Amino acid sequence: MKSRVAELRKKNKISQEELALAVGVSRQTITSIEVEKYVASLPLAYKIAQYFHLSIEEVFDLSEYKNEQGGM
Amino acid sequence: MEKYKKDLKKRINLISIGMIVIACIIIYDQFFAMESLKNDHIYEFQIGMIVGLAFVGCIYVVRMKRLLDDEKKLRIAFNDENDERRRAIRQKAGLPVLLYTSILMLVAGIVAGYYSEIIFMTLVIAALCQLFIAFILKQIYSKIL
Repeated sequence: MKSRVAELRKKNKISQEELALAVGVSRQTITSIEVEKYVASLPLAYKIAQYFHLSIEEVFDLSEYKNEQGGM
Repeated sequence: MEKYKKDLKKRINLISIGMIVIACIIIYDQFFAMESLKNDHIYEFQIGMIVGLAFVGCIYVVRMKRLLDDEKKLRIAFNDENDERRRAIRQKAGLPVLLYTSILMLVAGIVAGYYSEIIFMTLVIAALCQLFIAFILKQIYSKIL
């Protein structure tokens, strides 16, 4: 899943380790989310969005899920 | 975080008790065990495994004591332990189940070893193969996720 985590992190000058500590995961998980290998769970996505004072939709690209919904 | 600290202290105490038991077993084996038993392959395997467990226990205790002194490292260790991605990798690799069945097979192998060496070897090799497969799967899923 595409996300703006890396972009927001760099914009706010936060390291992966700092973000990981704040949202309660390992640094590797943040890396995996940034390189689109791992899809964050809803609670983690919410924590990351809250950390940047944004909504989940503003941080994560949910368009592929919206398309799936439209096909039903 | 206080709960995790208490949990770590509990783990240190449990491992320390286990290491005292291991020390007692080693002393018993060295000075009081029957000579006929000492010449057995399984006896050597047991001693090797017990010493290995004691060594791993020592490393674990030192690591946990260091964590308790450093608040940042403690936080990182807590996050690592409760990390959802790592949990997903472990589950996909079947680690929780494979680990328990492998330990059970090793214990069963040691007990069965007193009756048949073939059963002992079969169970130990099967347990080690299971652990190896789980380790390989964990590495693969670590790359994928």
